[in-house]
Amino acid sequence: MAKLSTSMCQVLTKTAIENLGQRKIFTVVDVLQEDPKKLASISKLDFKDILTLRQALVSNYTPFPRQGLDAYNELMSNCSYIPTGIQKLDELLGGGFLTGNVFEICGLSGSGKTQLCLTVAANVALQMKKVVHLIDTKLDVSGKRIHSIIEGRESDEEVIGNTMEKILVTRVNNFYELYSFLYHLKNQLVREPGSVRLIVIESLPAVFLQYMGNYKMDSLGLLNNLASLVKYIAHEHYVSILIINLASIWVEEESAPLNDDSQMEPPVPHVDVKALLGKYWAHVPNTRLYIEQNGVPNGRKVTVMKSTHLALGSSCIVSITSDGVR
Amino acid sequence: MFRPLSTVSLPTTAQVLLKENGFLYCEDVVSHRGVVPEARNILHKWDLHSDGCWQALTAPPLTSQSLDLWQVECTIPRIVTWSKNIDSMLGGGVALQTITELCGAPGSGKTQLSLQICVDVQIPECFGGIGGEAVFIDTSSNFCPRRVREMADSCSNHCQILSESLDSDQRKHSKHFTSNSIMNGIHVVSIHGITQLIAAVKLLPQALEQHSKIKLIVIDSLAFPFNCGESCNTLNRTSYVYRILSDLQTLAVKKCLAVVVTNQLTTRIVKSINTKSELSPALGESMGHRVNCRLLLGRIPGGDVAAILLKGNNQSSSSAKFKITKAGIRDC
Repeated sequence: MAKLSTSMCQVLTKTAIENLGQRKIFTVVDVLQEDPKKLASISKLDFKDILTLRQALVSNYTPFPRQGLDAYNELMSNCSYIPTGIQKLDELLGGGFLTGNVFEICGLSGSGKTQLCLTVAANVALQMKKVVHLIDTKLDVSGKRIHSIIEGRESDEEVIGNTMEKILVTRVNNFYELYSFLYHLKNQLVREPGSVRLIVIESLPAVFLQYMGNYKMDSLGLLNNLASLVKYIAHEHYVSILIINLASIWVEEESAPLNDDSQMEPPVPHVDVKALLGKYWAHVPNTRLYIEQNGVPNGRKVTVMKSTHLALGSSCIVSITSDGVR
Repeated sequence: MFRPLSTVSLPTTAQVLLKENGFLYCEDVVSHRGVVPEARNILHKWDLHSDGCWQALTAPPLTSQSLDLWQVECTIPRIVTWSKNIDSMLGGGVALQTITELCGAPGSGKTQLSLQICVDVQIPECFGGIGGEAVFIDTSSNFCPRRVREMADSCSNHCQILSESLDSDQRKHSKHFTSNSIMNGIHVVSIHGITQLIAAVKLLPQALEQHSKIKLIVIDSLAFPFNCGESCNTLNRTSYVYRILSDLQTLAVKKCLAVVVTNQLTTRIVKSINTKSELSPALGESMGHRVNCRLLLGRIPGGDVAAILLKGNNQSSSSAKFKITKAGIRDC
C-alpha cells in the first residue's frame, strides 16, 4: 500500500496522518521526498519520531542487494526450460522456453502464430502434465483445434480429456479484463507457488489497436502497466510468458514510386516488416521470434529477431500439419 | 506489487480526484474490510462506492477448460449457404459466434453471398436450419430488395416441396415460412459515413433485445465508409475498425450469432527490389488479424466464382467453386 496508514509505523498516529493529508502528503513517496523538519512541523510529531518513521518506511520498501553468486545459484535452482515439444524449435531456443522470460511471437496474419502457440500449449499439457493458461482476446482459441492436435499425438480418449482439462482458456474483451485476469493469476501464484509455469497471451494487438490514433496516449500508459505486471509475474514466479503479436508490412511513403516521368532509376520503396505496438513495446519481450512462410506449402521459418540469451538471426524450419506444428 | 488505479475502468474525473487525494493503487481504496470510508466519500458521486461495485470492476473474467470449449464448439449450429463446396470448406457452413470476412474485387459476389446467407439463416428448424433473422448493415447502398425476393422465392419454394415429406404437424409449422416472411426477417440498416456506422453498431444490443431471433449480423462493405467522405487517417481507421469488431465479437458470443463483414481489395506494393504491386484486402494487415475466418472471392473464366479460404483456425487453406444463378448461390 502506498497510502500512509497507522499500521505502517507505531509513531504514525491518526491525527498525524490527517495533518499531513491537509498539506497533500498522502503517500510513502511524499513523506520520503519532504524535508524532515517540515514534516515534523506539519504533522506535529517529534523530530525524532519523524526520523524513526523515515527509517521504518525505507527499510520496509527498499530492495536489498544480493551477491551475484547467490542470485546465480537461486536462478539455477528455480529456472528451467519448458520444452515446446517441437524438436527443431527446442534446438533453436536451447531447450525450450526459459522460465522467468517474456517471449514474443510475431508474424503477418495467417502465418501460423495461433497454430504454433496451440501446439506448444497442447505439448506442455500432454508431456509435462502442467496447467497452461491461454488468454484469448479474439476468440481464436478453438477447442476443436486443440482436440485434433492432441489426437495426433495420443489415442487414449481419457488421456486426451485429462490433457484438455489442463489447458485453461480465458476469453477477455478489453484491456481491463486482461489486466484483472493477470493480476488474479499473480495473486494465485503468491498463494500457490509453481501452480502455473506457462501463460500464453493470444494476440495482444487485438486489445490495444482500438486505442490507436486519437487515443494513443491512453494506450501507452496501459501498455506500460501491462508490461510491468507481465515482467513481474515472469521474474518473481518463474513463469514463461508467451505473447502473440502481429507484424505488419510498412512501405515508407516518401520512397514509394508515384510516377515514372523521370528517366532516373525508379526509387526503391523501402519495404519493412515490423512488429506492432510501437517502439516502446519492442523493448519489453526478452526474446522475439518472427514466423513467416518460406515458400514451401505449409512450411514456416522461425527466426530469432531479438534475444537476451540466444544468437540473433538463427532460424529453423517447421511445418504446419493437420495435427499442429512439427 | 499493487494494482494501479489506472488499470481499472473508472471515469477519468474519478481517477484524477482519487489521485489528488493520495489513492494510487486499488489496495489503497479497498482494504480487507471493503472500500475505505475516505474513498467512499469521493466515489459516491459516480455511484461506485459499494463493495460489490468494486468487486465487479476488478473481477477476473471466467476461465474455462478447453475440454468444455470443445464440447460447446461441437454443438454450435452453422448457417448453410446452399453451396456444398463452400459449406465443406468452412466446416459445415458459416459458424455462429465467429467473425467471417468476405473479400474480393468488384462483382466477385460478396454482396450476393451475404444476401444468400441472410436468407439461409431463416430456414426453420424442421428443415435443418436455425430459424433466425438477420440484420443487414448497408454502407454502400448495395442492398437490392428485388434480388432478395428472387432468392427468397426459390428458398421458400424448395422448402414447400420438402415439406410434403414431413408429417402434418411439422408441415403446419413450415406454412409460415414464405417469401414474405423471409423478406420481413431481414432488418436493413442503411448508413452513410463512419459516424453512422459506429452509432449503428452501438445500437445493436438494443435492437437484439427487441428482436431476439436475430442470429446474423452482416456489414456489407466494412471498408466503404473509410474510403470516402470524412477524413480519417490510418491510425484512426485501425482504431475504429477494432472498436467495431470488438463490439461485434462481444455480441456474437453473448447472443450466439454469426457476424459476416465484406471487404474490398486494394493495391499494395510488395517487392522491394523490382517494384511490384499486388491486390490485397483493404484495411491493412491488422484487419486480417482480427477476423476469425477470411474468404477471398474472385471470378474465374467460365463465369463461375471461386472462393479461397485465406485464414481459418480449424481448416487448412482450400478453395471452392460456385456459381451465381437467379435463385442465388449454387454449386457448379
